[in-house]
Amino acid sequence: MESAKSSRTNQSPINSLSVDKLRTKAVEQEKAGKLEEAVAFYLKAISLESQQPSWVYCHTIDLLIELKRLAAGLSIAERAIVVHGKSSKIYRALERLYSQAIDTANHLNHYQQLLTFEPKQPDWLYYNLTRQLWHSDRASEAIKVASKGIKLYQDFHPLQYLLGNILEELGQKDKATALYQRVKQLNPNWLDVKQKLDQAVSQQVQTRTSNPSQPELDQSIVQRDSNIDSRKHQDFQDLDIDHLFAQLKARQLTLSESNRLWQNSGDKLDLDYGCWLSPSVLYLEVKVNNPVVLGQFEILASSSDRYAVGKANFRRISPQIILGIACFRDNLYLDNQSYRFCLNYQNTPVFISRRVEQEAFGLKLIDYLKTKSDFLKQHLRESISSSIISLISQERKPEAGKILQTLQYFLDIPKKDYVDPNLPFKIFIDYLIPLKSDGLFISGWLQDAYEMLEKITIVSALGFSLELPKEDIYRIERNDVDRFLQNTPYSNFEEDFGFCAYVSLPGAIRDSIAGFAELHSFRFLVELRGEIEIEIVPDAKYGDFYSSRQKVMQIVSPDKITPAMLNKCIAPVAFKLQQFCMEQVRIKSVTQIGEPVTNPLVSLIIPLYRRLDFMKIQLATMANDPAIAQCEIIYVLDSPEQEEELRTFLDNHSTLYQLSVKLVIMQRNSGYAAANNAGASQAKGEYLILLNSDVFAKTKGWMTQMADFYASSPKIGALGAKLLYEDNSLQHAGMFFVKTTYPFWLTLHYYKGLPEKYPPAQTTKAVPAVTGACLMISKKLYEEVGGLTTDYVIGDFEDSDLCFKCSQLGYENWYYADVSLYHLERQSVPLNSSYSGSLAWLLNGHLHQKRWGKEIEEISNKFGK
Amino acid sequence: MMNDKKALIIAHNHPQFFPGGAEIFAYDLFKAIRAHTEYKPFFLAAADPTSREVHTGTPFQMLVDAEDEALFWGGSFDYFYQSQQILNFIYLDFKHFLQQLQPDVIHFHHTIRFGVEAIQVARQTLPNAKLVFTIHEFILICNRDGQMVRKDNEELCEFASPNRCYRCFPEYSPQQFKMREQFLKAHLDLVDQFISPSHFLAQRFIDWGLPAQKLTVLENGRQVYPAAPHRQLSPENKRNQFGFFGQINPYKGVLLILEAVEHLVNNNFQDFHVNLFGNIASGFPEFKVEFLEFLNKYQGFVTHHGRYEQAEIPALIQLVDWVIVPSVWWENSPLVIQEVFMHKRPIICSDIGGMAEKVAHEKTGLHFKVRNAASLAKTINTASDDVQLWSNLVSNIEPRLSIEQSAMQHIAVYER
Repeated sequence: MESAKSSRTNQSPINSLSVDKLRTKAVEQEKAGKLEEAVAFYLKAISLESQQPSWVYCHTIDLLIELKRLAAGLSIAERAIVVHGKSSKIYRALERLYSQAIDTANHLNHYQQLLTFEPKQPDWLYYNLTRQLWHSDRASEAIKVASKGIKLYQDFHPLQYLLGNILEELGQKDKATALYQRVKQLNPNWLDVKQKLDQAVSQQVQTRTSNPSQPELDQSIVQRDSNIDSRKHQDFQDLDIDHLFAQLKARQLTLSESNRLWQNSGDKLDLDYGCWLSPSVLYLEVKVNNPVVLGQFEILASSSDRYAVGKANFRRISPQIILGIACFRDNLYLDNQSYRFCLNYQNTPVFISRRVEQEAFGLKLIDYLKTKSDFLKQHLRESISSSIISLISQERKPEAGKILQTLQYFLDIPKKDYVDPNLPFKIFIDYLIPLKSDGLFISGWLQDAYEMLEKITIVSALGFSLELPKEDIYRIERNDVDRFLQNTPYSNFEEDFGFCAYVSLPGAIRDSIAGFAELHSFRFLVELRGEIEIEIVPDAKYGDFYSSRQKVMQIVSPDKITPAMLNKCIAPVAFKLQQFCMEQVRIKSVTQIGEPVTNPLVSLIIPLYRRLDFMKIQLATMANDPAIAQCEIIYVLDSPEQEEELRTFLDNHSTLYQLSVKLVIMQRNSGYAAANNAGASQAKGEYLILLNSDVFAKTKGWMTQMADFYASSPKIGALGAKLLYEDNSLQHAGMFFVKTTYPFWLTLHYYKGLPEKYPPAQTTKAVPAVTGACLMISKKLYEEVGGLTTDYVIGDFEDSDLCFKCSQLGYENWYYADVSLYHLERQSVPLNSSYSGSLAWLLNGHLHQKRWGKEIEEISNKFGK
Repeated sequence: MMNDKKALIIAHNHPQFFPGGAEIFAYDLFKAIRAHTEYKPFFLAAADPTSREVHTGTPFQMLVDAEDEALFWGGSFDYFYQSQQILNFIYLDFKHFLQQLQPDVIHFHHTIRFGVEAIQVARQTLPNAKLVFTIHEFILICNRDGQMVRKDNEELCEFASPNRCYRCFPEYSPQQFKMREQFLKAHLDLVDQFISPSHFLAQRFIDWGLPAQKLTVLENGRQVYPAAPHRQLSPENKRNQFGFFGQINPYKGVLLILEAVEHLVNNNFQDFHVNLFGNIASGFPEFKVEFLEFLNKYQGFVTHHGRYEQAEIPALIQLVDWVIVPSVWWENSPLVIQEVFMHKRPIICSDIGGMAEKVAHEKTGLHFKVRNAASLAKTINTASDDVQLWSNLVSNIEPRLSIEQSAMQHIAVYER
């Protein structure tokens, strides 16, 4: 009964809804991204009542396009035209539909219909229509439409470029060149048009000198489409290559059936060099000759015992060479087989002239590329990488990633800088911090005496480029550069010479490389006023994430940093690096010294960093405390270079004091939070006490006393103790927060510095937060809140963060006044004397504020009263 | 006598290497216990590297051809933390030795050169043994060799605290002094019974944090000899011959005597003589020059006799009526006071610390204001002039505690 009922209510109520309701439902589903459902509602609405507003039709058509249901789209469009015959909206939707449909000729009249209703249509419509007409061999109509569009949109250069192409094909080269020049004026950075113009010029030169020894390469490119198109449907009428490739791809043919293809004659690409870069990635260099195939195609690889269809990308990288990269789903080159290849070029077979039998795995590729010029090396690297990134299938990414990394790490591109003392513009990049596949941080110095810099284009060795606009380059003090420039002609310009910048990768690029390719090598195109472009390949330093994090933290003094620089450059980089550092956190080893404590009540987790001398006292004071029998001592060494020293120390002292100690050694310095979390992961106790190594008890039994109190009050999250300075003044009796002129709350300790016996400090009570120097929490709760947060750069605020995580779950944080311990505060972190006010402190304060500002406000109000 | 119980007596040095008060007392006590009590003692003395090289693989070695004496090599000692640096000497060798010996009592006269860790291992290894610790001076409280005299201005220091100690030793942080204190106390906590030779010393340790109920004050006993005869005087003569016994160094206050002499001579009091017995300490060149200049200037009033042996005291002390103990620091329970009282001479001493406690003012001696030459001069003047005073004081000096009596007192503590 139950299930029947629920299934009925879950069933689409589509049949019982009014048209209005259907439309509302449709919009809801569309907003929720449930396209199938949305379309169902729209179609139902239309079927019930065809007099729908035009937006309903437009949405329906767009969704059908999205779902690739083009036939359904067309039928709805027909109906829409009946209802809204004169709506240009509907025609635009139609246009979108047609541009997706392969068979366009039958519908071109709809375009023109549209123009008769409303002569001024959006610019792209003219472009698409022109292109469709041209592809349908209706060149004269195409020219008319294009001319109309150009009249209306004189600055819309793609249309002018397209018309140029058409005219060029029709042999009207002068008109075409005039159009290209106009395009160049409109968009000087469009490389294609530059190339077109260069060709035009060279052709003129060739015609004048009539030099027959030079093959007319460029003309062949210009005429490529017409050449191949003319042969189409003549030589291969009997063979539908699209269909054949579809069958091959689906593995529906046997090897011998597949061989049918090779019996056909067809165009050949003249192979100069070919090799396998991995068992599934193919590298081809073909001569630029007739036909010239550029773009992405399906490629068939076939050997004596197997075949496979993959994807190939062909790019021209020099006047002589076209680079082809092909990626296959399977590992083909496993047993040194010889393969031949055929492309599906617009339903036409194009064969690769020779078989490929060799491999250039790993550094062999680098050896091969070394034979090329420096210019080519760079361009080949970028093209190979970007082709692989665009073609590679998910399952082949690990191997492909190796090729990309090899190209980045082992191809030695000569460094180029730009620091001529006699010129007013100089730039030097001295630090590169690639953030995996997220972005790039650079720092260096530049002198720009006459403010010539416009932007920097960063070209990754992975084959894409990033724009770094001038305003994202933050200038910082660099006194060493002042000295360097002292005796140059441009020494009398006031400027902060240092700079740093962060460019994050656009989502699409990030997605395309995430997980298999990481950023590493770059060249920089520095664009200056007056169309001057300087290319530099920096001789920059790299570091691991830890040293990079250190470097970023020291790049600028916090009082000189602007909010924009902090928020857009330093903070994203620092937190990213922190995250990467934390991802690398590993426990190197865990050693049990002495007999393990069975069923400990409390696990003491004590991180160690650099200073080990406290342990002598800590162990001596714990040794003869009867309560230690119920405790497990876990030391976590976060300065692993001291492992040997510490092991010797612990071997001696655990024997001397008959104490059992668990020693966790971190793989590398990981910070306070990570060290504690590592310790907690090894803890067996019901309760954890996070303890600094410079904390030792004034009296015995404090651990079990705290545990008893903790157990007796279920609402307690974190429990802190009374901590004293060496002179018995109060160091900690709970923490609270105050607002000052700082942008974030400051953490203070209650009664700090007052006498140990100061009456308010004698009462156990709830407080906003407690210090992590000695903090008890149940292991269960610690795990529930995910331990200490490792997000704070280098580390800070973790203890209050932990307390707030407990508060968030409804727990309270308490100060326990009945045990006293000495805390020789901050002795263990020499860095800390200078920490307050540092860049890391600023960042962490902001993060803490962002996470807990509201809670602090609430908690402070509560405790204020 | 049946020796059925065992006591291990531990001293920080052997009197053969260094005849200091604590070393001598510990060794004498060992012999007295062996001779006169039902305990079978074992004497283990530390040897510093100037006395002995270490044997490979053991801290132990022998000094005298006896079954119940040995040396413990103490060259790897951290003076700040009073801590042993070669810990396996303690948790392996010393522990094994304890397991073999199975003493009922372990009596530390010091843990210098052993390290306080020896207490830890003693407690662990023999949970039922009685741990006794004689505090001979302040080294556990004061890092300045236990003097409790401020380093910057040489003022007398009343108590230790992390910040005060830091003023004397800026090379250590206040926190480290707290660490030192907590470290030492963590080990001293394991001791059952503390013995102090003076109330003054005991009080300082109680103030520092040792529990009063664990502290017993016991006078250090001595081997008792007959008193050396007093000077034979005709009635008109004065008791105006003064003596000083001890090393000539800045802490013992010898210069104060010379300043007092100068004061007296300048004030036309010249009917007295001072005899100084003791070698001039090396290591204080400026002090030595000043001392010798003074000595040269007042050679008519002061005679320096130089180094002496313990056995010569009865003969030397016959030259004097009074003995001056003018130390500029606290002193704890100076051996010289016991020695002088044994020979029935009244003592003129500084009015502080162990001296003031052991010498009763106007009963067995006279106090003068510490570090005050004028006060000392006035006291010398009074002492010289008042013959009746001298006789009264002499008659008040009681017989000294013998080492045998002392041994019995210690046994009582062991058995407590």
